[in-house]
Amino acid sequence: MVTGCSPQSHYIEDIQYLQAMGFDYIDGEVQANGTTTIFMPVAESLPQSETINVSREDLEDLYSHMQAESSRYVDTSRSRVHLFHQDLAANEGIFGVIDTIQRNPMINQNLKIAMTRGPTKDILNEEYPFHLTVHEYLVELIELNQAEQLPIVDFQDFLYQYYAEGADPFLPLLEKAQNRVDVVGIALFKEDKYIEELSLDKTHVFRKLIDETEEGTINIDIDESRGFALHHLSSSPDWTIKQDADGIYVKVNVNIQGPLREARNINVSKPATIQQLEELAARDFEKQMEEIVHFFQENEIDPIGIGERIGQKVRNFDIKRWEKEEYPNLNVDINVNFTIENTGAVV
Amino acid sequence: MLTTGDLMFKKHVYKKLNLKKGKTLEDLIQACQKSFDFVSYQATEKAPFHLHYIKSLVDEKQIDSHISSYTKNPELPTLIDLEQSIPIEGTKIIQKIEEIEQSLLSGHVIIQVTKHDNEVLAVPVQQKEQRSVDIPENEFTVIGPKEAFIESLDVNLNLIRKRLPVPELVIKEFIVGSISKSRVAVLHMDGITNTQLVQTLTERINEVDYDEIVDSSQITQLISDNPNSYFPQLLETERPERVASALVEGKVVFTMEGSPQAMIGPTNLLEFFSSPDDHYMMWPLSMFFRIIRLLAVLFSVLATSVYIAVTTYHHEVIPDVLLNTMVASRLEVPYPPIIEVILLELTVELLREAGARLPSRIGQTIGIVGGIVIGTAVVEASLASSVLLILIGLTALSSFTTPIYQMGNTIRILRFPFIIFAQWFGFFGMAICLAIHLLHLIKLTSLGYPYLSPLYPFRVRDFRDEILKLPIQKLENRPEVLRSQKKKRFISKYRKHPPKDIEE
Amino acid sequence: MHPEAKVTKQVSPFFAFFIVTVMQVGVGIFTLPRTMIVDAGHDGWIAIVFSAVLVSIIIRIIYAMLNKGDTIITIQNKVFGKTLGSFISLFWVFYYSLFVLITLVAYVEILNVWIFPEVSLWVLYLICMLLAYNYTTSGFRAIIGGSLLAVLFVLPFLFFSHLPQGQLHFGSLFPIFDHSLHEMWLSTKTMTFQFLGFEILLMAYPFIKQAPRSHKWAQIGLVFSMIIYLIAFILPVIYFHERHLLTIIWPTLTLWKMEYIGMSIWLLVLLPNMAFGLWSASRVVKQTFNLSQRHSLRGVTLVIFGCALLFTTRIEIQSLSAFTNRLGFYTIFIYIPILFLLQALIIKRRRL
Repeated sequence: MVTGCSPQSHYIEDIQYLQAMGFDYIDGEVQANGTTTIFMPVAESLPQSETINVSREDLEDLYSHMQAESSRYVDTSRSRVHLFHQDLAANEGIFGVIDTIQRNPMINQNLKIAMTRGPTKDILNEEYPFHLTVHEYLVELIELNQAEQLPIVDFQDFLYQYYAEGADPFLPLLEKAQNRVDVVGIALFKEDKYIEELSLDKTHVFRKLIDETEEGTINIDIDESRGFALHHLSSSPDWTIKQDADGIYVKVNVNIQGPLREARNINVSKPATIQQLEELAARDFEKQMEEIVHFFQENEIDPIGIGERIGQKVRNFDIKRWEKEEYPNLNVDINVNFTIENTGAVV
Repeated sequence: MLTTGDLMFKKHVYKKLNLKKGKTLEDLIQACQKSFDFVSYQATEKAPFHLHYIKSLVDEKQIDSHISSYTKNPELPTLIDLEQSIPIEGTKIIQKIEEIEQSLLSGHVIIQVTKHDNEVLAVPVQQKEQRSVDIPENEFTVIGPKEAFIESLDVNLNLIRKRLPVPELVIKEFIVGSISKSRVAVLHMDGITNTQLVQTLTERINEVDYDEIVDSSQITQLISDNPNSYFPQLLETERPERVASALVEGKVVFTMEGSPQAMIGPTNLLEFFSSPDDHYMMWPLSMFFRIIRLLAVLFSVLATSVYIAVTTYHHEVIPDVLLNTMVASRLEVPYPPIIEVILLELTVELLREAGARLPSRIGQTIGIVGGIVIGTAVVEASLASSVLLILIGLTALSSFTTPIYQMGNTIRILRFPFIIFAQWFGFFGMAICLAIHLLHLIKLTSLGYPYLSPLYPFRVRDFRDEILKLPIQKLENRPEVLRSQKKKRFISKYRKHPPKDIEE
Repeated sequence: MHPEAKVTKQVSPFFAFFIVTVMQVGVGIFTLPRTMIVDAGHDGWIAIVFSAVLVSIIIRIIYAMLNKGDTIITIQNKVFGKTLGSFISLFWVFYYSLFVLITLVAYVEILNVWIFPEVSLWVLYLICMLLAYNYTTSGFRAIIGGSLLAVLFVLPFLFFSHLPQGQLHFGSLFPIFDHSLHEMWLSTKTMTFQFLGFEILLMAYPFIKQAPRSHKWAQIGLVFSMIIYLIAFILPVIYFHERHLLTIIWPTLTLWKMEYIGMSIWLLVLLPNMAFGLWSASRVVKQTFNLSQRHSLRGVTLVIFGCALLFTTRIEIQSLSAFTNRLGFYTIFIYIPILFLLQALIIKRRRL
């Protein structure tokens, strides 16, 4: 057919799909790694992964140079995971890459992004258990952990927080260990630059401040011998923002409830004890949450999106001024209501 | 049934007679005598009567038992005497040469007083060769009546009339075809059917000008609103009860001597996907089956073209979990999807054609050989991907769910334009093809009635029988689009239920 | 007076609904969220409702006007006299053709960016114009049929959108009315462009049976497209951040789960849309200059195809749509009411 009269055809079997991408920062140069799946024609043999990588000084033409590495048509539209190395995130910022992705309409925008402690190349080059290809493994890892313990962030959430003036983005933080990848917490960003990280334990608590959750576990030690644990915690934060003559007043009510699953040296048959435990847990949570909020304020970041929440309540709100002048000293009133629903199958 | 010899004979006679204008009875007899099966003799030496008939068309036993004895009786000297005595109904005294010719050629015995008389008595003693009423083959249903039309018009009319024993069922007869002189019957319900509709059909049948018509589908081709369309515009059925219910709905029907089916009109696209047993089942079941059937048609038309569009242009829409299977099955196939698809589609068409031409037992074997042996071998030889083979099998299967055979054929053809357009422009190409077809369907009419009804013109009330199939109690109106004289079929009465304990 | 359209070519009043819906929804739905957010921000939905109210008034005026005269052409001839009237009719040929052009160019641009970057634009223009021409030659009733099928079967595709739980920021819609009246007015003006297309009624009126009764259906069509626009606006606003949304040209597509299939099948919505435009433009020529409609249709189609070839870059397309926007706004909100008043005056004077 005459050129231009019909679209260029790419048969599915002739395409090299870059399904997971990683971006490293080596000696001031950005290196992009793309993992592709090599499909096997026979049903018994499993698909294998292969990585190709290119180094460029600019982020922008990384994608186009991937093609030079491959004999097949390289296609990025099926990429599902994008990983960023800590150094890159801290030095260059990651928006350059992200902008390339969102500008290309062929790329499915429903994708996962995460930050890694080590170079992404190591993660992408590894073979993982359960016969999963690299991108399948990473997608499952992130999805499952987001259901269980991480606050849900994907590509669109990152962009939302990036563009929002009153909120700062955060990403899951991954680290490679042997032949698996661990989720170690979340990485906190200011604009598109990495600032600090939050450990996994604190992430649990942080998540309860921003998301409604259905899953989650908490372990509270009263003293060395006594303690209790709860599973399937459901929680919902309720932010109240009021503006009066004195300024802006921010309050959050967090309702947490769940069944008791472990009680070490505690007799939980009495309602009074349960009440005490509830009280204890609530105080514990409040303390942790306050610590987290202070930590954010010290670093002048706002992953909770308090500024965003105020902007939605207060008319003609000057976020920029507020972020600089008022946010670091803002007093957030945190109030936790804790309910133990039952004590499991035994009293 | 007529044999080829008879046909050739008739043509021959016709030609001869046509040459001479102003022919006489003598000419006619002379022309007929060229055939060996023309019999002409005087009853006895004493009696004046001459008998003429065509042996192959009449029942000679009847002549022997009912006619001979009277013609030989010298006490009956005139034709009128004879007419009154012969114990056969339908005798008539005629003079016109055309009528005599037609009677002679449709199995009458012609009785002449003297050789030069122009007035004759025609006694109908046709020999009726017909098979017995059988089970429907093309429109088989598991439940419901199992009678199908046969090649005899009178038997077919009997099958219909006994289902509608009311005088309002009007049957008009036409003779169509300048040589074949086929009898065509047009049926409608007086007081229900829109008179304009009846007029349209009779006018069109009257206008049919063709020499030899042997099947009613030929008439359909001649009277279709758009003869260039590949969508059937009249519904062909072999089930008398389907005809009966169409008549009561306010449609018109015609059927022809010699063809074992009746044509129902006006029809619409969706009617082709409703089977008579939809009406014999409980409505939730029939609604489910009908929706399944419509989806099957969509699948059958679109599946392979979607396969081409996806594997050639839009791999983005393949879900991650399927990508592995799809790619793995395509990996070793040496040519692009379009070739693969056309090859397999044509193979299936081949199998179908072969199966249809062969006696049913061999046909089944061919199906198994083709389906299993060729299919497996093709995949093992990596000439086609297994995913596509599954798709092709399913599309073939789903095209068989169409209850009307003609529409099944249309669906077979319909997927090819979609395949070509999908190869040209992917999904956009399919949209182009869809736009062309929709425009065609919007413009198409059946006996002047819109083919896409009840979708366009939009008649929500007609949905309840055409698309959804609601409970029979709700189907109290005839289709609005038919504009029949009586809109209501019945007044629905709701049974009173005894009050439940909670309401007491 | 022009002879009335034959009864067999007419459609029932109910179909005014489909005329209005198909003409309004068109291709603008994909760019709508961004253009609305430029001025009114998250309050854009108020502008949508407000604009719908204004358009509703105009539809009322149009019906009041048409009930006393057949089409815009006969009305203009009555008001301005034959010569000046015919001259102004030329404007309507231009006006209707312009709307076909903008739909064509905008749709092909999306196809080009999203699905077929390698295909030459003229091929896509040619395909669309040929199909639209075919729809138009099939007659008014066939176009109506096409729009009915499009509304019934293609619009539901819009519901296959990404709507992940937990990623919808309903708070983004608050505080309500956080923008100045001026900003709201600017957005209302932008929005009016999306609601344009119902002017087809100015020519289609004689083709509707018991046309005055179709007024109700035209209004219902307007409400229906308003609801679709509201959904199309609110979904991206609660999904993307406002500042992010400002950078996305086709937010509806980004959100759409079936963008490839949906974008292709959207052709079925746009064909009746363009066919109505072509039909009206050629009908104006026929009524004014007594040319056969088929000939004028060919002319109009060729001219539009030719003009489309001139538009290749995004900036050109944007300036074209800005121009159309302004033109449409003044035509509908200034010219139509003035014409209505003049017509009323003339009728009154004749009575006296």
